[in-house]
Order: sequence, then C-alpha cells, then structure tokens
Amino acid sequence: MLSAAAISPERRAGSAADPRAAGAALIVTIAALLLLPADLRLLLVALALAGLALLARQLRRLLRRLRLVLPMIAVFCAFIALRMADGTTLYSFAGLELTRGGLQAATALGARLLLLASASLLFVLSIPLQQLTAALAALRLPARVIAVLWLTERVLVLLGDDLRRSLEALRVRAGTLSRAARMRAAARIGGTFLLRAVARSERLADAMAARGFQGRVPVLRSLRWRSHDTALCAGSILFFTALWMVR
Amino acid sequence: MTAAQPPSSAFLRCTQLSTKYANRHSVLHDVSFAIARGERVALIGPNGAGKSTLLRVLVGVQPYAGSVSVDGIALTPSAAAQVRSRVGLVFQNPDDQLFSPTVGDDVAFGPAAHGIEGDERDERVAEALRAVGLDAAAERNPAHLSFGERRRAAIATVLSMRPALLALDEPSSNLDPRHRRGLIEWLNSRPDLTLLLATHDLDMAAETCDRAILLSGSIAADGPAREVLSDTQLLARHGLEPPLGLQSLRFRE
Ligand SMILES: Nc1ncnc2c1ncn2[C@@H]1O[C@H](COP(=O)(O)OP(=O)(O)OP(=O)(O)O)[C@@H](O)[C@H]1O
Ligand SMILES: [Mg+2]
Repeated sequence: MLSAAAISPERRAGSAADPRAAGAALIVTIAALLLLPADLRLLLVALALAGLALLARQLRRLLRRLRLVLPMIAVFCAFIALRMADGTTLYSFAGLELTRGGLQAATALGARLLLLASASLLFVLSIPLQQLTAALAALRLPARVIAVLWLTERVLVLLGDDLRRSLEALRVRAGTLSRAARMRAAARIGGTFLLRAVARSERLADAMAARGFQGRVPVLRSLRWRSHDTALCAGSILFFTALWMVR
Repeated sequence: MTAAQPPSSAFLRCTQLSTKYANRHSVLHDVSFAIARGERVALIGPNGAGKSTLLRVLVGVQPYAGSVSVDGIALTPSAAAQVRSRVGLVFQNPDDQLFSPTVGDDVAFGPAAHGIEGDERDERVAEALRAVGLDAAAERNPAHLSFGERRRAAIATVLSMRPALLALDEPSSNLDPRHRRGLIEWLNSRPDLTLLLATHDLDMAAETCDRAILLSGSIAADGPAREVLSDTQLLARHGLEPPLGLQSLRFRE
C-alpha cells in the first residue's frame, strides 16, 4: 500500500538541481561565454557542459535537440564567413570570397552560439516544468506570467502528441497511396491539425476550469536547496573565474 | 412514467434547461430535474442524446438557457468557481482531462487549485490513486498510459477533489472487467456520495444507481432505476438495448 509520504514533495523532487541554482549557473555561463576570448578555453567549457549533462542523465537528449539547432547556427556562420573580407583569401567562387579572418570569426561565433544553445537546452531539459513553476512563484513573478509560460509548454507538448498521432495514422494508411496522394494527405492533415489544435486548446481550458483553475498555476512542488545546489553555483563561478584568470 | 417530484432539499436543480452548440439546432431542450443530496442517478440515452453536454453545463463550461442551481447557488459565470468546488466532472475522453506532465501532478491539480496543500493534498492524491488502482503510476507521464489506465487516471483527478456531486461520463468504457468491478465497488462503498452517472453500461447503472433519467434531447423518462431499466419497450424506442440477462440484472438495494 502506498502511504502519502511516498509521493511527498521531497521524494518527488528527486535528485534534480534546484531551479534557482541551475538558473544562477546558467546566467554565469552565459555571461562567461559572452566575455571569454575565443580560444581553447571554450573547449573546456564544452567539456564541463557535457560532464554536467552526463551527471543529469540528459546527454543523449541534449545531443538530439542540438541536432535541430545546428543547421541554423551553420547557416548563420556561413553567412558571417562569406561577408567578412579580412586577411588572405583561402578560396573564391562566383564572386564570393572566403578569407582567413572571415573563417576565424565564423568559427569563434559558431562555437559560442553552440555553447550558449547547449547551456540553455541543458537547463530546460533538466528542470521539470513543475519545479520551474515553483521557482518562478518563489521569485514572485506575476501569476499571469507564470500561467502563460506553463500553458505554452503544456499546449505545445499536448499538440505535439496529437500531431504525432495524426502522422502515425497517415503512415499506417498511406502504404498504397501514390507519392502525390500522400503529399495531399499530409497537407490536409496540416490543415485539420490547426483546426483540431484550436478545439484541443478549448477542451484543455474547459478541463482546467472544471477543476477550479482561475488563472493561477498551483505550485505542486516544494523547493529545496541542497548541498549539490550550492556546489553547482559555487562550482560554475569558480570554474569561469579560473578560466578568466588563465592566460 | 412521470417525472419524479423534485425533492424540496434538492442539491442540484435544473429548470427548463436548454443549450445548443454554435450554429447548430438545440441539443438539450426544456430539461427539468432535481437531485437530492445522497441520491444516485444514472443518465442514459443513445449517442448524441446530450448526456455529455448536460454534464458540461453543470460545471459551467457550456452556456445554457434556463436555470441551474447547485447547493442553493445559481450557476452563473461569476459563481462558477463555487459550483465547481462542489461538482466534479470526469470527462468522457480522458485525453481532454489529463494535461499535467505526471499522473500525480494531474491528480493534485484540482485540490491545489482549491487551495489544499501539504499533507492533506498528498493524502488525497494517494487515496484517489489507490481507489483506481494506479498507486504505482504517480510518476508516470499520462500520455504513456494505456487508454484504460488514462481513464482511471482521469477519474482519480476528480476523486481527489472530493466533490459533493460526482459526475462521471462513461466511466466504464475501456475498463477491463476487474477495474470496472473495482470502480462499481468503490462507488458503492461511498453511501454519502451524490452521483450522476452518464453511461451506456446499463448493468453498471443498475448496480450503482437508484434512479435513472432517460435523455433524448429532452427527458424521456425519469424514475426508479428498477422501473426505467427494465422497461424494454421504452429502451428499445430510444435505441437502447436492455441488458442481456434482464432477470440477472443486479440492482442496488
Ligand atoms: N463541440 C461541439 N460542437 C458542435 N456540436 C457538438 C459538439 N459536441 C457535441 N455536439 C453535438 O451535440 C449533440 C449531443 O452530444 P453529446 O456529446 O452531449 O451526446 P452524448 O449523449 O454524450 O452522446 P454519446 O453517448 O455518444 O457520448 C450531438 O449531436 C453532437 O453532435
Ligand atoms: Mg457523451
């Protein structure tokens, strides 16, 4: 038999970091990434982030999400590399020039962007929504702002599930369809998905209202600052100070 | 069969209730009935009869004409919150009901939204999960449960609110026999509960309710469950099949 203690907030909080500690570490990391010169030190930052992701058991998910961000960063960096005419020309093609300076600037920028994206993703992945809500409430953010963040996350997750189900249904039935018919079906699903998304959001709002929701997201987790949270904060500050001092 | 006289101590009272969906002809028309505290009422009727719509009216998410009052409080937009703390509705589709990242959080949402905290809330969550046999699933993502498990989780989200009136929309569909039986037994172990059960499961209606309302746009019959559920002609006229073994129908008493 399950006792009430088995699902008490302490037990539910698990070993995850306190969102306030993780948030502070994220801010320190972002500041450091903007200030540190682009050299091998960035590699150390990458290693530290990978280590943290491994500790939080999020390395695999982090890499999977990064794959989505990577193309955007790559396009942006290519644009920078080709626009900066600086130093010796390495390669030229159809009026476009790739220079040594341009390549260096693009690499430095790309590395920084990649690390910023990794740090932010790691934060989002490792802090459960309910913990984040509790932390934002503890920081006295307006209830309305918290509700908007919470609802956005929930609606996106639920609609993502819906879309996945629609696509599964399409795949199951599309076996005998021609490619053109399959494309048409996918387009139709896209259209009906939008309509269904609206209906789904309305039903979600009804279900929440029926259970007493009046615009304030209830805080379900108690926050607990533990020794590893202090370690995370102090560790990130010490780590970046040390990187800063090293020449 | 004539409508039973509304008891004077009605907990829920609907008078000349009508409602419709946008640009559609009326779904419910001139529906009047009352339910006393502690009464157990089965709401039966064919597909599209308006059972779910009626239940949605009662929690204030469906606009209506006429009058509805719960525990003496008239159901108006400004009083909806008060009414919702007394009426708990389990939606027909569990996917409309479950929205939190974990089952435990979803079950805690209702009590938390009504300001219940700490041990009391944990106690209610544990009790509700136990009642539907999901004690071990508190940490699981509702989207990863089987359909029947999701239905049971949806029921738990409302049980944890301990509503004075429990409104269940097709609670037994997709339940396996053991969990259906478990639900019937749980409902019967709560004699203080006021119950409104919309269902096609006439056996379950007979076992858990004393009174039955046959809905088909308006009220077609309202009376003791024993009479309504064994009136084969009445049921057939409204596209309902009497339970197979009518003689073996177990009535609550
Ligand atoms: N969101 C909606 N918009 C428009 N019409 C609707 C909507 N929901 C339900 N209806 C219509 O209202 C009528 C009553 O629906 P309702 O869901 O209340 O029936 P029901 O008695 O619960 O049926 P079932 O036994 O199939 O659950 C149906 O004809 C249905 O098509
Ligand atoms: Mg229905």
